[in-house]
Amino acid sequence: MTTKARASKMVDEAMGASRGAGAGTPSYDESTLEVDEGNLLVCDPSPVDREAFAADPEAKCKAVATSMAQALVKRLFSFPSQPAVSGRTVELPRPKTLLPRFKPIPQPKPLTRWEKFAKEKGIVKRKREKYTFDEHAGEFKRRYGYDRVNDINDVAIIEAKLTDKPGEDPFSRHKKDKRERVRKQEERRLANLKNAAKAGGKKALPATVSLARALPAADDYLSSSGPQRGQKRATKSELLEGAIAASEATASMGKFDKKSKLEGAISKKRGKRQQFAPVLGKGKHAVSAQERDLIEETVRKVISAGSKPILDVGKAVKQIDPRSLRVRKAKTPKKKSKKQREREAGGN
Amino acid sequence: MAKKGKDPRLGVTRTTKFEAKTKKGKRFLESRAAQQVEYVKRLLLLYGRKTSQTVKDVLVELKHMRDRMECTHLTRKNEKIVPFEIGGETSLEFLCGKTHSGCFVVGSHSKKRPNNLIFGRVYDEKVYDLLEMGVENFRKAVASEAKQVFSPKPCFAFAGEEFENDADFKQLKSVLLDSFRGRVVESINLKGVDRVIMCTPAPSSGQGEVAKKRVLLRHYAIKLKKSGTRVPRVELLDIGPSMDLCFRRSRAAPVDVEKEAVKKVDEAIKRKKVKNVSDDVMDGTVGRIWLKPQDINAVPLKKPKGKKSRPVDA
Repeated sequence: MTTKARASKMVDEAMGASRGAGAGTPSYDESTLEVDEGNLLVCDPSPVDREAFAADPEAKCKAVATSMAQALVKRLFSFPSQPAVSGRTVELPRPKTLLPRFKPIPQPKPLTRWEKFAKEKGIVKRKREKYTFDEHAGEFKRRYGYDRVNDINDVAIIEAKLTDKPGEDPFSRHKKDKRERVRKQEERRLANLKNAAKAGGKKALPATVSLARALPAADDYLSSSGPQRGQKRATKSELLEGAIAASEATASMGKFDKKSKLEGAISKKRGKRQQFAPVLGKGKHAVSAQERDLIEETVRKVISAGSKPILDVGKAVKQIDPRSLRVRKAKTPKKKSKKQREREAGGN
Repeated sequence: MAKKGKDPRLGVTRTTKFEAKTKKGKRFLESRAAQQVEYVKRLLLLYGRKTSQTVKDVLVELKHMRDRMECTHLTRKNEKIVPFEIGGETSLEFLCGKTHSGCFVVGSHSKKRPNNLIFGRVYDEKVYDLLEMGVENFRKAVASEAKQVFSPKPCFAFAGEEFENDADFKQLKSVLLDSFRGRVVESINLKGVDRVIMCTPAPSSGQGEVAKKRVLLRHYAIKLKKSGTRVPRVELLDIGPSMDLCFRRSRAAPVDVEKEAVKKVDEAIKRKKVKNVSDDVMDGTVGRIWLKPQDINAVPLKKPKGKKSRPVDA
């Protein structure tokens, strides 16, 4: 036993004696205690002294805690320490007690199509400098991004080549090519995400996709499966209506937009609500056949001998508003005031 | 970024997929992603359907036992949070996700279960385990003495064979350690060893009554006194809060989930080092940023009138 250890044991014994006199504290042998320094945790797996606890729980609890804390402090102070701005720091070992994680261990990122190909072919990514010399500008510039080397926007003149198509604007061609490249890359990116989701589920996707759950259709990459249980499947007509409404959902409510092709599809289905037969006949016939039939039908109803009188006189009389029949009295001219009369006289 | 695709049925363009659009949004989602080596587990404190003043006080005291930045205390009642009932945990899981908390304590009060605390944890956005405890003999922290301790990382002392043998006690030990241990650190200042959370099984109160499983929970400040040796002598001061907890309902984690959740990660893998950010004892986290050299000539200083350039008379 080293002198240091002996000294500390002596202290422990001395303290145990002073403490144990009244409360009968069990002397804490280091070997019975389980210490997890990484968590600053001490456990005493021996049974507690129930009688002592029942007699004075507060004092007993404090006494037990003191000796356990003392054991932990002793352990911590035995570690090699470094001076700090105030006090000394000690290195702690990793925690021993296993606790559940908060989130599952992340899966390795699935390879993209290019990465897979590069791996097969043994293509190694080559590191390039961030800045390169721009001969036009005569200075170092970024290789990519804003204010980059050979930026087409900074070039005033592009020399024509023999291979150029006559009449084509090289600037707009560059712009078009760029747009195309961006589109294609986006397509590739989405295809890679889809493949990753197919192989490894939602968790294989990057957090920027898999966690964006507050927004609708977050699982679109996963499957093209139908609606969830209990969810109504939209009918065709509902989808059509939705699509039309969406196509018209502009500031002008679709007034100045191109008409959607769908609108034709839905209007065909609508039946005619009112039907008007032609009144005028063709050629020498003044009245059309349908109109003539209608008239004949009405006349027959009125004049045929056996038919009921179609005119209900009592009802017809009620239809007439008696007020409209009243003959109005002629208005008597309003009596003029004295002032008015004077004014008229003066004017004359 | 929205993916636009043609729907074969409609023949129109529709938006089907949403992702983070801005760099800031991306960074936020990435911060919420699963990590190989995890950051600190945050604690969420919230209320259930009904609360009593005692429950409110308990939660406030529990809040003070954690670092302010690592704890969220929601002070509204939550009608929908009844974690032991079917579907009563949905809202809790949502709030834990929103506050990015791995541990929670739900405080409630009812005639059947007065002064109720539900401790629990979340794994993979689902409730992992639950442990319901009743609070008795609660005493608030002594404000003047509580000020003396500052360490966000307390010591823990669990005395009694029950913490090794009894399932409920084991769960309590695990959940308390998880909820209050704070950050996992590589080194600690010995001055920071300044408080201890003590837990020990208590004898059941009252005679003839069915022996209730109870726990004494105490919070002491550690005073390191001179002992004449290298190891100081420990003196404890009861600073509170202190309470007795009696076990009520509990739900342990399913075996398969537990197996997955308590998996050890490769110890060699460490979190990626963040460039230009360092920790300082006095100043906390310190970041180093690069500033472009200032062009003094371009600074709009107040110029004295006499120095104003004037057209020179010919």
